Amino acid sequence: MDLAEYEQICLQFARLARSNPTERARQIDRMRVHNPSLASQLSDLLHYDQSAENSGFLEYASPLPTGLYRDDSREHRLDDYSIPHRVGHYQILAVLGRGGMGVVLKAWDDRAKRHVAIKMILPSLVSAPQLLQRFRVEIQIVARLEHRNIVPIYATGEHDGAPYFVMKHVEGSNLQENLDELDSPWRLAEAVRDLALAVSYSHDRGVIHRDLKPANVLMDRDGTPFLADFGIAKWTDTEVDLTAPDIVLGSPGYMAPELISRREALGPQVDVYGLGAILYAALTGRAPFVGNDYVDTLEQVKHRAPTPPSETHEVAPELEVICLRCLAKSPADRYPNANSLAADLNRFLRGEPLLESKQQVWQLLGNLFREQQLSLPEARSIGAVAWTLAINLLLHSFLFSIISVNAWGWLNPPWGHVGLWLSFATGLIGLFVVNYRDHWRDYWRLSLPERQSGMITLGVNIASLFMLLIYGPWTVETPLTHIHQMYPPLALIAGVVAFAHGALGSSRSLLIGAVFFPLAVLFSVVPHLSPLIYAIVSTLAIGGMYLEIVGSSTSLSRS
Amino acid sequence: MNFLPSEITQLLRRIGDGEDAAEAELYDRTYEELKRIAQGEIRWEPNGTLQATALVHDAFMRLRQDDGFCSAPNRRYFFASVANAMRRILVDAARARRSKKRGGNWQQRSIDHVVAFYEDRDVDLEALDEALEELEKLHPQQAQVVKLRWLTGRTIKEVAEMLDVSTWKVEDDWRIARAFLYKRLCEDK
Repeated sequence: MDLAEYEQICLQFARLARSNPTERARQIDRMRVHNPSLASQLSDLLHYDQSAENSGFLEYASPLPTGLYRDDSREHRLDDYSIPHRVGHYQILAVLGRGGMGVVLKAWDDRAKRHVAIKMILPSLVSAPQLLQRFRVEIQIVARLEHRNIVPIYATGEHDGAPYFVMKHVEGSNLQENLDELDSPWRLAEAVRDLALAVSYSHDRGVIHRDLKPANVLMDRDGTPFLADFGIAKWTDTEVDLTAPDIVLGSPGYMAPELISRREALGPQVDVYGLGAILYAALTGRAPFVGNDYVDTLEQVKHRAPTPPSETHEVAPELEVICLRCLAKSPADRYPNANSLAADLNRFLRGEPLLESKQQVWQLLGNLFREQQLSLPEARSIGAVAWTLAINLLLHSFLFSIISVNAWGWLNPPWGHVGLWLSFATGLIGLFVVNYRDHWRDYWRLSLPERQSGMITLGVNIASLFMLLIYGPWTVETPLTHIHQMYPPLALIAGVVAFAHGALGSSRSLLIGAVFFPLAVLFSVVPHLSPLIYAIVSTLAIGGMYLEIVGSSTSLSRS
Repeated sequence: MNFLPSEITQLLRRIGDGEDAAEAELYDRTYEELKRIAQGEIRWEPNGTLQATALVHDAFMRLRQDDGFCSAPNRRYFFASVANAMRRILVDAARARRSKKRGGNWQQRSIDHVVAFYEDRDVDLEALDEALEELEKLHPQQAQVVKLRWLTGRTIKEVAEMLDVSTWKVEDDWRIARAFLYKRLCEDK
């Protein structure tokens, strides 16, 4: 192997090692065609990478003292002599974390030949009976939970009178250290949804976690989140609360207000709040409440509304709505359970409107004059919108001109009629083509709101066709002005369409709809001006609405 | 460690000034110190810690207090020489252990515990040393990462700081190098 070849291998390895197994296999297969030797070396190395990882090759810390310089990396080394170097057949390698009453250690399982994490009560605290009892409850709780997003327990035991339990070692980092990793709104929504499902699972088994925060979420290398640390979790079905009253010693910025006041019974909504707090932290990079000191933070948690993430960061509006609903002060205002939170996140992921959102109609109206919350998938391509508007404007202003010209007697029959029908035909065909390309061609690949919007447009086009059948001047004897009767119903349809789009996200559409309805009355009063007025008003209104939607979603996808 | 933090600082400063002899001297001193510890009889603390580890631990703790020791290049020089010394000691010990095993009776030293650890895991330290040498020729930086991480037990983050590259880069280098070495080792068998 020469230098250049190795260089090439390194370059590809780094890229492939980070992609998922299927993608990796696909890329290597493709490489086999034009560079078979590189492909086989790479697949070889990737195989050895995996087995080196699994067997813990070179992982054992050297006999030298280690990691004495910084304490902020996740792996603290064994610098504390009170921590045993061996527990049963587990060889202790490092300290992963340290809590009020226990430590979490990274260890090598001599029998299973794998890395594990061991949670152990601090030797100095073994004599505190209440803590021992608490720790045993945690063991029972974790042992009862088997979920792909909850850190699984392998074994339990006792070492010199100190109980411990052995868990899966999640290779990776905790969410607290990698908040910026979840920068895509969709990845974030997926992670929080998975956590919400895990929480919902544990609720179904009668366990409330009560201490959900980024530090208690472990992310493995594939980005799968794991719920960890049920240290202050509680059975819902027992009255006995084993938690010491001083549990308010945690991280108050993530704590639900009812955990502090303790006036009401704690329900599953405590964890809904915690999930919202995790979402908030991932959106903004900090806890929902950060006070000057401990007491100040507690006060804020109890009394102040969280700063909406959008005030400081560019965030998907749906995630903000979901997040703030979780963080409501009163449990009754939050999602009723973790499952409905997961369902709403799924709706966001599928591009559907949030059903769980408690926005009232009056709130929607209140939004008319406020900054808009526009729905993401509503973005039709700006070219299609421009085409639609141009056709609309041309068609109606041409109709206006031809009818006026005809009325002044400058056109001999049947040329006025021919011109009118030709312009109708061109306009309608144009609209069908534009909408086909933009909406109907890829119908099944569109999100639900996009499909809905496409169907509304199709309906409008068909309705226009039928209106021509009814109001069109079919004979030369029928005056061209007969077509004016089409405009009041057209305005009403436009109003309904605007309202329908209002539900899809842009509440300003409601305002536009409200303009179209009185326009129908105006059209019946001054019929001869209706094509012109309709051309101008619809261009301005619909154009403005779409520009706003397109503008807001492109700015979002850029972020 | 017997030599004083100020002495190491002095050496590091001279290395920083580009004096090659100082680098060799630092290596020799580190090697001697580590060998002394490694070849000492095992002494166990009541709780089962290896006494030698505790000794070196203390030395490092003292060094840390020293201002001259704090800069990244200084630490890199230091750990590089520790890693090289450690590597030599390990390979020597593995070789000696193999011949002594054949010969029968031998006295257990603290380093033998470390060597035994790798034997248990079926890792041939001599073959590993050769593979590392090969890697050094192909990609010196990767070899450096392996030495700092494996032989001196630095975390990825610490190695990145010492080499002044991103943690991503170190992680990539570590994974490739580890796969490379593991492959060589498995193929040798």
